[in-house]
Amino acid sequence: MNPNEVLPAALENKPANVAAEAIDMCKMQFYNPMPIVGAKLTYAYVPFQCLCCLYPPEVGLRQGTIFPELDRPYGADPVYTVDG
Amino acid sequence: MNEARDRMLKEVMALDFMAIELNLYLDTHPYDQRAVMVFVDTARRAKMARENFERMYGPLMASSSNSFPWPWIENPWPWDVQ
Repeated sequence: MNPNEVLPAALENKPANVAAEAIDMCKMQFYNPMPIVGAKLTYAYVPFQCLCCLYPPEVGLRQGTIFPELDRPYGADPVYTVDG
Repeated sequence: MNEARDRMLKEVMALDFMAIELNLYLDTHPYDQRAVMVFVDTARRAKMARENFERMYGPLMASSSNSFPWPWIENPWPWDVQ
């Protein structure tokens, strides 16, 4: 899916630097609780992950991920848990 | 089982896991400079941890066996690990 399609308004002032763009995207998508702009019906949208803080290696190995934002133990959300 | 050995092995596993996680992250974020830096540092630390472990407790993979007599069989067998 073309990302410009997902965020037409937000990406209008696109910075030239790709890394800076990624950081801007991060601010918009991860830190901003606003819904995705210009979303169409029947499309699936996945926010772009951005590197924030990381677990130390031992914690990461135990939790199964080094990214705190992805750390959702099985059963955390009863709706998506078969035996929850 | 030797506790110090377990701890060092766990460190190698944790650092290797972190390197794999960052590897996957970088596959979709190749321009994330900070992530590349973290990856390089993690890979270096994983390599050091592995070398430390192998120096003290023998090879982690048969391919890193480089001494005589053949040291591979000195490691605990899978059924010896608790």
